[in-house]
Order: sequence, then C-alpha cells, then structure tokens
Amino acid sequence: MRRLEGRIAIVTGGAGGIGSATARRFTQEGAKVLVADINEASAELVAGQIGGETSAAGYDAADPASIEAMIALAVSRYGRLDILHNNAALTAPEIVQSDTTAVGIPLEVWDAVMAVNLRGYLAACKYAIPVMLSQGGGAIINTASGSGLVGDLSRIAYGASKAGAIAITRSIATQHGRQGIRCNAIAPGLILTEATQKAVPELVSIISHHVLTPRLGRPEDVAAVAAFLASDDAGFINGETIRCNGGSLEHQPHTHELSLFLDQVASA
Amino acid sequence: MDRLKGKSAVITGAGSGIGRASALRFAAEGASVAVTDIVEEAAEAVAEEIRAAGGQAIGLRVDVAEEEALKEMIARTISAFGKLDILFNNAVNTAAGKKKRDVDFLQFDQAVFHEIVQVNVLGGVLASKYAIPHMLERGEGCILFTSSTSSLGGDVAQFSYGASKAMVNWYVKTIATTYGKRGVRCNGLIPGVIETPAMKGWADEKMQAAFMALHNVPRLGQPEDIAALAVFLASDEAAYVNGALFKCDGGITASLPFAQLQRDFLLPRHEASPS
Repeated sequence: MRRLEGRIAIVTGGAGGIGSATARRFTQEGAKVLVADINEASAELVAGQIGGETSAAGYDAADPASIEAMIALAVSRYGRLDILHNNAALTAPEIVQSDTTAVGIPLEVWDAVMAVNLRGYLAACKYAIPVMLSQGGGAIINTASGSGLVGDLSRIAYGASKAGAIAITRSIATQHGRQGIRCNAIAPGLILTEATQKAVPELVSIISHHVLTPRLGRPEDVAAVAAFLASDDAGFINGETIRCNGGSLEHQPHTHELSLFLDQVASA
Repeated sequence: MDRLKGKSAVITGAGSGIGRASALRFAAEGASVAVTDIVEEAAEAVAEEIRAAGGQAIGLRVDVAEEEALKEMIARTISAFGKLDILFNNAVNTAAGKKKRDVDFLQFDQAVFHEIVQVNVLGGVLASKYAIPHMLERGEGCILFTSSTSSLGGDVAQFSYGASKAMVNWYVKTIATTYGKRGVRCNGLIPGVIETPAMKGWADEKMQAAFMALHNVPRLGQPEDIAALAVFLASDEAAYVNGALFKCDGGITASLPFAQLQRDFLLPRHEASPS
C-alpha cells in the first residue's frame, strides 16, 4: 500500500521495537522517514536496514532544544513535515525500576519520566505544528499506553505520563483540528518487543489470559494503526485514542476465571 | 488497494449511506460483497454498481428484524462466495418518520423502543449468532457493528435510538470477549455526524451549521470516512484490535462540548496561535 506517498514523517524512539516497525511501515507506504532516537547508532542501523530515503537523527527527548533542532533537521533535509509520530519513552532500567508507587518513587525519577514521555511529546508538537500549519495541515500520532487509561500496580509516573499524552492529544485536536491538524493517540496493550520480553517474562502469561485474540501483539500491529491514522483514510478521526491491545481492556476482569468455572460446571 | 483481497463480506443496510459506501470500498479492496438492504432495488443497484466496476457482489433483500431472514442471509452469502470472513452489521432503524414518537420522553412509546431494538440490536446479534459457528469452524472471522456517538452521552431526544446503540456497544465487547481467543474479532464503529441521506433528511441548514461549528476538523463526515475505517477494522491490519469502539467523529467527543464555541473569546488571547 502506498497511502503515504511523498509524505515526510518523523518517528521518535524510532530505533526501538514499535518505532522501528512504524518507520519501516511508513516507508513501505511511500513516506520518507526521519528515524529519531537518543541512540543515534541504533537509529542509523534501523534507517540503513529500511533503506530508501529514510534517514536517522540522534536527539534527546529530555532536551527541548534538541527536539527543536531535530524537527528543523527533518524540515531542512526533506523540505516539509507531514507526519509526527511521538513514540520515544524513557526506558533506562534504573529509571523504570524506581518508577514504583506514590510513596516509593524518588521525585527526580518522576521528573525524568515526565520530561521525556510528556514534555518531550509536547515540545515536538510545539515545534512541528507551525511547520504543518504553514503547509495546510498534518497528522500527529502519540504513542500512549493502556497504563494511561487504567491503574497499575507499579510505574505510577509512566502511567501519568501516558494519561498526559492522551490529554494533550485531545487538546491539540481541539485547538488545531479546524486548521487541518489531526492528532490521535494509540494505546498499545501487551506488545512483544525485545524490551517487554526482557522486563518481566512471567507477566506475559498472566496478561495473555486477558488478551482476546489468538496471539499477542507485535510492533507491526501498532505500526499498522499508526499508518492508518497518518493516512487520509482517517481524515475524520481526530482527538481519538485507539486501543491496540487485543481487547485486553474490553472485558469483565473475571472472564478467564468464569470460563474455567463454566467448563468445570459443564463437565461435572 | 487490495486489503480485503479474497475475503467474503456481508453488509446490512448497504443500499445507502454508510453501508453503501462500505460495500463499494470493500469491493474496491478486493472483497466479494453481499449487499443487503430492506429495499431490494437499493441493494441490487449497489451490487450492480460493484459488478459494473469489475467486482463480485450479490444484492439481497433482508429485513434484519426477521431472524429467519438473517439465517438465510448468512447461508446465501456462504453459498455464493464459499465462505464468510466479514459480517458488517450496519442496518439501522432511526425511527425516521416516527421521529415524534422518539423525541418526547413523556410520550415514550414501548412499541417504538422494541421496534428500534429489534433492528439495531437484535438484527446484528442474531446475524452474529448464525455467522459465528462458520467463523469458528474456519478459525477466523470479523464482525463489525455500526454504533453511534448517541451511545456515549445523554441526549434530549432519540430515547430509544441512543439506548439501542449503547446496547450494541456491550455486544461488541461481549462477542469479542467470548470468541476472540478463537479467532473472531468484533469491533464497533462510532460515527459522529455523517452527511448521509438520512441525516440531510432530518437536519435543517441551521442544525447542520451547528454541527459543523462543534467539530474539530474543517468539514463534516462523509460515508466514505466510515467506510475507510470499516476496511481497516475488517482487514488483517487490525489483527490486534478487538472489542474496540472506534470513534470517527471529527473529534466531537474528544473536546469539552462547548470547546469550539469559545473560539471568539479565547483565540484572541493566544498570541502565538496562528489561527
């Protein structure tokens, strides 16, 4: 499919699982993509694998000046900007492990998570939207998370940052939608990436009882939603948060146990 | 594009509006389509339009208020195309013509409620009842329901219509929960204000302008917008999207309900706003 022919896109966190899948998918759909990541070498590797006119940039989502420079680089390299996929998240293990509960989290960890996951998204929008408006419009896609919709036992800052991403998505859609900017979010559920598999493998089996599809999610599933939202097929969709989670927030939480119980009653 | 290549679909209420646009788009994406409508000539005309463009389609008269007709609809689609991949429950009773009986709560008419629920809810639920065994046998299938933004908030009218769409939302999640692991995905589409013949039939110019003023996009929705979403949800692209209620409403439910009405007061204060 070539729904993004000739469009210029930025994918932040583009060297990671979801980001690299999205960059690849956007390129397959005809876009030229700037793969932006804090790990410039990995971004170069991903851009090199994808090929075409897709290229890489190193930047730091915690640093607004670096974000501004990265957006400017995309515009100077490709001449315009049509699609911004905000996808970078703070994944450093020492941060993730300290992102616990209201009582347990060191406040500097809270600030670090917010700086990247939320202010990083806002700053990218701040510098990208004027470029898009000067061209008549554009599409912004923010990677949120199911953690932004419901509570979890840990990662209080991550959840809050993702809820914040959903909130800025709706505000940007409201504030700039009539000027031609569409801003939507994707809330992935369990996606099997290298990062999730390493993090807590034992959780995968617990969560999979609550995934209502025969298989678990892949980065390509999120990339497919992102490509749809970036394309004109989603021209009337704005301010939305799309769940790409195999249905894991759509059922009564007891359904797995109830199925086992009903099977037991049936066989008795 | 061929995102539905080799797939077989049945769409109810496909003689006009969203259903018609979806039937045309599904066919353009490579699907064989059973175009069904309570108005036989409308169904046949859309099917003929698809065939004339080189696609594969049959037109069927189906009254989704009749369980037997739904059973036959599923069977005839399977016999025509050899299988059924996609069931798109889109037929609707908006109580048009009986509008007055659904706009005054104190005149609430049980007969109107039952008539609307029979079509809007049971029509899709019973069609699913006959489609799901076939889908389970094949280990895959996709069911779509057309819901509405009416299902999401209170209203001053449409006391039966809005309730029927809220019921649809529950069945979307429940079918996904019950059969998702066995390969049957079920998702709901939530159109906002779409310029369909039905909408233009009831909303006068002033009402349409009022809708326009509330949107977060510079235009009203078209049937093709919903058709594009339906293609995405029906395709393998959406393999990990299940039990979802997918809004396609120009952002109208993403904002404070009065957000756009404040433009004249708030925008002058946004110095940086390039409005």
